[in-house]
Amino acid sequence: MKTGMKRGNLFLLELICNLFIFVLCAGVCVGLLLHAKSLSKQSTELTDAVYAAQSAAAEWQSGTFREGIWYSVDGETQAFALDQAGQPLPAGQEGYYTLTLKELPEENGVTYAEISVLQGDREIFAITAGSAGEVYR
Amino acid sequence: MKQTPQKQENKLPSPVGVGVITIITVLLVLSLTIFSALTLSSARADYTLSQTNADTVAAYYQADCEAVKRYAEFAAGTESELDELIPISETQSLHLHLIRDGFNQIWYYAWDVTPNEGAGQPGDLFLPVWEG
Repeated sequence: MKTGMKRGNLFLLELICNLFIFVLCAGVCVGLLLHAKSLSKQSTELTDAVYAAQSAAAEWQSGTFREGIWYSVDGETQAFALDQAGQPLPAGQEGYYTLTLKELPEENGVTYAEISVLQGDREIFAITAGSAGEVYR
Repeated sequence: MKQTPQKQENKLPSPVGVGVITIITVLLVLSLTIFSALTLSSARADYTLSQTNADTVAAYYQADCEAVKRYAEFAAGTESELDELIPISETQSLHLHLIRDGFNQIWYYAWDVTPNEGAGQPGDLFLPVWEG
């Protein structure tokens, strides 16, 4: 009878210890997985922003803008919105990202454009592109 | 005193012996840890790659702006040829080669990314490509 009770207590103690260790480890692992998810999201956002900025720079340098997506913010700045997958949205729609292109005044025959990709108020990626008029690529 | 069959059943030892649960928990904890570490390492590698790509693109556009500036200076001048390498990174440069013809028209022969001199030595991460 005594051995039976001791064995039962030992089993219960082992169960409680294992549960505690498992919960502790699961907590740490969930933390790691959340961190990995956040890194993965940042990585996707950065890649989408880089592609969007590169296409905007190419459009601006060639002088042919895609129709229906660009809208004017003010006289110098143009913008377009992108969805979460990095696809451009029709002008006027709210998107997950916003790309802005600000043309700077001409300097010694060269025009520059500041292109930045924002997610809310946070700037994800920015580049400055240059163009020198008609004989360019 | 006689015991009922039910009481006798309660006294029987558990089919799962002491220690088996610990072994299962250790295996579970180990696999959870390994998979979390692999996921994190993969996500970190993805992020590093994205960051490297972003840095490369930013450096390329910086060099491209410099090339446009040189082009504008060349177009405003009288030289017949411009052949320059504008550094992008330690391993790459933007090769700019412009030629002015007799009608003062500018032709570009090269406006592309080329590997730097010395890149591709043994031990570097370059493929030995036959250059002809």
